[in-house]
Amino acid sequence: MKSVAEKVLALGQSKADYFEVRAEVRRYSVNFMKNGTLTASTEGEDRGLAIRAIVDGGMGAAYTNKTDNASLEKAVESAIEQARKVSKDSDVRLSEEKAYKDFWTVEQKRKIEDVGNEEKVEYLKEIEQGLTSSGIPAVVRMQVLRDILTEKHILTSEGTDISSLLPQIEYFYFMVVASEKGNEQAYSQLAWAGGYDQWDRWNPLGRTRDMASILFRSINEGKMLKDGKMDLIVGPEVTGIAAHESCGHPTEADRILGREAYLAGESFVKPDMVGQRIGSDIVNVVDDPTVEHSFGYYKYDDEGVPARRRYLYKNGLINEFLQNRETAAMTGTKSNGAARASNWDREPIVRMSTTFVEPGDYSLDEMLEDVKYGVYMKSFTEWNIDDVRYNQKYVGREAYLIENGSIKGAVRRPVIELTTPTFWGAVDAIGKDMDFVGATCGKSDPEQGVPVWTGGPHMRLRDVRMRW
Amino acid sequence: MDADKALKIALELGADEAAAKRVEKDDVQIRFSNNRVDISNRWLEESLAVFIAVEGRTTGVEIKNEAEMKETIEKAIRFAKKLPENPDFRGLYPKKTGATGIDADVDSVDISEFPKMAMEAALQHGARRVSGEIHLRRRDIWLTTNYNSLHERRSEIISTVRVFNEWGAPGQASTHVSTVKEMNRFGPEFVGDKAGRLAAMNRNPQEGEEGRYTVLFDPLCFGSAVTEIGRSLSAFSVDMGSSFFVDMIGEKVASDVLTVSDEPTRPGAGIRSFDDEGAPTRNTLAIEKGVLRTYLHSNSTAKKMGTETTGNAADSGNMSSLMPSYWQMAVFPGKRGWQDMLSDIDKGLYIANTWYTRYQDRRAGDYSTIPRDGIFYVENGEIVRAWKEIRITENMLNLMKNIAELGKEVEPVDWWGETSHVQAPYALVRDVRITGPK
Repeated sequence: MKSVAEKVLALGQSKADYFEVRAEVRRYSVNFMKNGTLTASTEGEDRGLAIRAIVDGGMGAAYTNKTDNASLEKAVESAIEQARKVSKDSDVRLSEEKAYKDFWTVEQKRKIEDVGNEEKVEYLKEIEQGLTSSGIPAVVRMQVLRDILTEKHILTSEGTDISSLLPQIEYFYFMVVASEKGNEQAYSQLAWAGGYDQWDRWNPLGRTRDMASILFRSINEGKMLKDGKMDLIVGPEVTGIAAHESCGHPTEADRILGREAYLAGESFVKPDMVGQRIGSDIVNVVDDPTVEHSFGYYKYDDEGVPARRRYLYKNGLINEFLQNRETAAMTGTKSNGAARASNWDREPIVRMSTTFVEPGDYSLDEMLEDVKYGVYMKSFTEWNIDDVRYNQKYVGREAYLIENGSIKGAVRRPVIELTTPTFWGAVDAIGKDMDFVGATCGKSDPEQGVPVWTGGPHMRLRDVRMRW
Repeated sequence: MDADKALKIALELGADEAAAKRVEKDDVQIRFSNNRVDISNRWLEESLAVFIAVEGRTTGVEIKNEAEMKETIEKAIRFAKKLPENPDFRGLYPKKTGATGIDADVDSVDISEFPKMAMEAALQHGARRVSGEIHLRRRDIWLTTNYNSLHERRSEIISTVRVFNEWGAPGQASTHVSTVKEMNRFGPEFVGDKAGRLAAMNRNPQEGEEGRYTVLFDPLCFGSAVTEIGRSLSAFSVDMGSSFFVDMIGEKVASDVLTVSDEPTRPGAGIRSFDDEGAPTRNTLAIEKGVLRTYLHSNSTAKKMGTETTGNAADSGNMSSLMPSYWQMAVFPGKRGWQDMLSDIDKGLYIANTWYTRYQDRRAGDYSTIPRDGIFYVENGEIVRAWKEIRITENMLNLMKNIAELGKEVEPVDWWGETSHVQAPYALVRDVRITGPK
């Protein structure tokens, strides 16, 4: 595909103020099992090109998977024509950035290409058998195993020439356990950048069986407590979703500037709020595409800008926004490498990668010992947050009562519904542990689901309103 | 690339049944924010994917070009033969489907001035900032199976506008149309005007109060609930056990006023005359006066549940499976207007839109969702103030049973998957639980 991208660049670069070509080939396999039946299994290849042009302040893009000369010429002309047409109502600029030439990849110890589909199907069958033989009434069992090898080439009229080869695997399950006392559901997304050597380390059979037991116990033994303010310890999964939803999203510069307004919304963070307090001074929330083997890993973003760690909240203060070249130009700064497109038929916009809370120095036992009465919310099921990322809710999936520093019995469906400053301001202890989970972050229209990790350590929050 | 040829090759190479779907796509989208255009996108794409059933196994495959067609299909058949059997597959729709044609004529509409029209309509109401999109989708679809060879051109326009006033508070409207006639009614000026009016009403919103309220849902907002109802009507979701309609055929699932039909023959996004296995589409009355009449079926789910297909088989991605999905949910209208229904509220809310619907218990229907784009507190039939920062924390079946009245006007609403090609009226719902962080 690189030669096709070079041909397109040659066709268009002299006709626009800025011209960019991104060519991608995605080799994938997907297996979907529903309650033990393999209802979909496929492997194949998807390839195409994104062409972006800026002419007199207008930005146009064309996306095509037709690679004959006439179609390529039509796509180039179309991108330029779109840009020209909207230029009278538009004023798009890109920040000035150094142009790089490089190739990057991620090591696979057990290569995706070397694992046959029969083995992948066996993985799912083994988990299915493990769940159905457990004696726990898991009435819904949905599993998806997907792998993808993405070859990408980014060329621009400014001299950028970045190629990459990115392997990713992803295992998703959704289950419902039902009994006379009701249902509990769970999902999880195990995902990374790398090969199938990770499969056994994930221990998906053990995890899914454990999850079924946890749900069953929650239904049958989980207590509903009296509503009120109490201390709360959250596990890495809850820390991670809060970091993603109420720190990562509100610091995306395109939301802050209004470019996503009619979709995912804007942000309670305004351009002049850098330095304002949002949490206690031990809170450091980071977004970092360079975390090795992370599901959102990249070395250069989709505008060819080098990836780096960004401190979004630092010492409890709003510190830095996620920027692509368009938003950086609007705010008079440089891109920090946050431009991502979910596929060749999408434009690169501001996205997260791996968003997490930096670890502190507490063990879980040390956090527990100071809690007289509270809740340990290890994981969550339902969650949502408003379109300015201020009013959020998390409902516990695996949760326990804490009394006098000890974990007691299961608690069912504890709910926290609070504002972003209330959440981060209540944090008084951060664990030294660290864990990540995979997720697919949604944004833009047409929808762009991009792979990310969310994570962090355990955290203790003081005096939080809990309800059931 | 030729779908007929792909089918022929698949059958010659040993497939028992196959469905080849070719799509030629030429979409244009103009996105705008802060009263300026951000980008104009165009998609010029062609795809050909083949569903293959062989010896009780199924797979799907994308074909990249004519030269690789035979080799790709051959490989896919070898791949399929190594899979376990798929007992959920009960055969493709086996009868002849007559071409009926569809009411979709927006394919030649020039949308380049639409953003300006939408913005001007919104700014008339005192808006400060306008954002949104105009999206023209044009597809030529060729579908060939053992039993049918079909073609149609589908086109639709999605118009979305979100407006912000001097307090930074929004209003939003979003529509879908497939005909020029509808576009004249529900096009860019309609959404700009409606979003502008909502934003103008959304003055200085304050934190809302928890409680149970009578809520008047805007069509866009009610459309989100109808979208969830439509997804739960899929026989695939029912068969898996994740629907809140499992084992409820013939039961009362909603109040008498609710009648919901899947209407792919009606103008709007989702219009089509055949589904992705070649069955003719039809209007399907799924919930009639509150009683669940049928799920939405493909040929396979229908056979599994002992009934007939409703023409809802949908390609789940490169024809790897054909799962039932609704095309266009339509709620039958009631008799009263918005103002009349509002005047019935002693103490309640009018809510324009919601987003981020998530389930704590999908099977039971326990969920929450977040109102946005205008939350108005109503007393004695009058809007008295605007609210913010609340959440609807409910059960979908309870919500359906508490519908008291539906409006007489139906709007075509569609927004970003939250509300997905629905024809919905205003809905007055009693006893809705509102929660919040306060």
